[in-house]
Amino acid sequence: MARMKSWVLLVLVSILITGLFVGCGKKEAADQTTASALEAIKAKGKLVIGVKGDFPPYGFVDEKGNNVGFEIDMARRLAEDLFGDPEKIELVVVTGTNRIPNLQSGKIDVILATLGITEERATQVDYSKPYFKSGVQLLVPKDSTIDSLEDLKGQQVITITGTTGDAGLQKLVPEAKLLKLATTSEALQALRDNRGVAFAQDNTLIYVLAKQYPEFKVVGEPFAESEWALAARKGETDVVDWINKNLDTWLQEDYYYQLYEKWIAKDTPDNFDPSVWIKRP
Amino acid sequence: MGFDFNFIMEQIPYLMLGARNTLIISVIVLLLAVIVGIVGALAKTSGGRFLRLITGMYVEIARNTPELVQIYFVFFVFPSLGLKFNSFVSGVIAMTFFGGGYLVEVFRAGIEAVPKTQVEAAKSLALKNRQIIVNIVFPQALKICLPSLIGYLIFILKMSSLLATIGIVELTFVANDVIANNFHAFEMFSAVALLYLIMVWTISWLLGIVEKRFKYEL
Amino acid sequence: MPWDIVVKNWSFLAAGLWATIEIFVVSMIAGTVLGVLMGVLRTSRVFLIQITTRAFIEVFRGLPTLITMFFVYFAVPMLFQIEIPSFLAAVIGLTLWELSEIAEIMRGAIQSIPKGQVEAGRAMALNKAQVLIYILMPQAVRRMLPPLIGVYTRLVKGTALASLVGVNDLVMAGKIVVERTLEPLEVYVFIMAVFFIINYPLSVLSRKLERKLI
Repeated sequence: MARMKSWVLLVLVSILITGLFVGCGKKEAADQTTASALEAIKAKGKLVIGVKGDFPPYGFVDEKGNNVGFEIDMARRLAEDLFGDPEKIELVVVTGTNRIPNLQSGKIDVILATLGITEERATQVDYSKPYFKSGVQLLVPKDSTIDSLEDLKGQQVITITGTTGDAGLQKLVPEAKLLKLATTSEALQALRDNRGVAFAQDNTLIYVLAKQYPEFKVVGEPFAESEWALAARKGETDVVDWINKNLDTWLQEDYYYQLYEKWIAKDTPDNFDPSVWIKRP
Repeated sequence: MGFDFNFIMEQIPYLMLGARNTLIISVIVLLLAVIVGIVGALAKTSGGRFLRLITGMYVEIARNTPELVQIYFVFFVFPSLGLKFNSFVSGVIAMTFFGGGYLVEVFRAGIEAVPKTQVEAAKSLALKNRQIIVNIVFPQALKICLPSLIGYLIFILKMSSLLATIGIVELTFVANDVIANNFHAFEMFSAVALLYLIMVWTISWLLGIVEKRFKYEL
Repeated sequence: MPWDIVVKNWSFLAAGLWATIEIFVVSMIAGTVLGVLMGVLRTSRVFLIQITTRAFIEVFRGLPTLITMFFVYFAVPMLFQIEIPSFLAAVIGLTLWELSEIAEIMRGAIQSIPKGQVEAGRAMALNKAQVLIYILMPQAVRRMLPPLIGVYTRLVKGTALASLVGVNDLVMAGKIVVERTLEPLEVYVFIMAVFFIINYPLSVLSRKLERKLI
């Protein structure tokens, strides 16, 4: 009986501890709607941008420890436009989880970190125009007869938990059985062992894998497409307008194609058409 | 953004599915590991030299290499050796491998705890070796081992969380799957943690009862 | 040629092994220090301290370490809007489990020492701290050693979980080498061998010490 009582007490205490945690939960960062957000950045003398540090070739850290990549070049051009100097910039490495909280708390001015446009996020941030478009495609063995989503019905398909490939497939082909794994390495090994007929993943990764491992090919039309855009705090329209003006100029200059050539072209298969991803004039 | 209870309420069916699978897998693995443990313990206590050596090696490998790597080994390496099992079977094989490794030692200790005089007495009654083991040593050893077995059920239940990595839909998998698409990591992991604790604490409460009862009987 | 792949990718695998060792050493030290402290607090006569330390220990011994680690890695940053890098998340997750195990061992060791000794010590005008340091601890440490080493061997195995929160440890390095070389057998045998070489002597030592005590 005494033992029973102490167990009840134990459960109560742990519930209490959980309650404490909840009590200490974060407070909503107040929306700072300032008409002159861009002026505030100018006054600061540098642009603080949240970028990816682990997502080559878009935003990553090279052997010397410098942030480089497709999106980093874009970030520097923004600083150049604002201050006349591409070095007047502070790059803050963010992750998929913390990029929006970092923006809302004011740690960064702008997100430029492979951020896809979604309705849910649009309630939390203001998006610029898109600069990149990715979608999910299928990686299959060279000799596979699979070539569209139709062929996946009733088959086992490999995905990575929580990716657009995972979510998109569940919506579009609910008849497919999913084998959900954690990393690309594991998914590739499973595909090699024929644990699934295809590996559904974002085409920014899939084409690179197909180039790297010629035993595989990419098939199917892109689905669950997502457009990447920069994001500013809700209501900071002057920042968004300024970014959009720059994006327009870049499109006219065919700057995206230059970035593609510099960062991505070496990793895509021959005869690859980059208009899958980027706009051209 | 406090604790979103509604979100957890929506996830309850999926969470329950995960918890159920966690329990089912753990019980299956425990039963299979008990068989492996008994066979191993018999080999170690009454087998020949070679058998003892092989069993000893098995026990050491099972206990001294990471459980996660053993699971990967069955799932990712076996196919290249021509042995391909689905996620569930691979997971059960790997967990039985390391669970059994621990139970060999548990049962060996149990068998050795049965007083030698009883075996000698049985021998003088002209019972065969097999009869001695099955009818005299074994029932007592099992009783001695029961508390440890329940303890190892907790160990196995906790280790089953690793099976999420090979795509088995158990409790940890459910948490990862939900937060990957809907965020709410805090709510999900709190709920999953609570479910694990309820299972683990219930088992150890049972363990307490069993231990107490056996103290009187022995 | 056997071990060809391990030799060719040696520097890569060695970097992973180094990370594994770092995680082990940091969590071992942190977990031991905090565990001993928690173990002493657990035997406190103040009810509130007793019950909170007990709840803490029961929670983190009861949870799968992977869940603790995921909680630290995924949930805590969202909750407090802070960043927790992979390495730190792995270390915190392992340490919370390890310190609870050690605290429990510590409690058992202290409580196994006959009360009479404490009373004798007090009668000799030693204060509480002196009794703890000169009478209880030396005996507790002797009794603790075999199960403590047992916890360390489990910690060595537990470091493999770090790969699941994104640390480039030995297991993660192995996975990447497998992706490049298509040779899972050799790489995974190598990984298991490395862990075995670290752990086997530890478990032999633990058993030896245990027998000595009996």
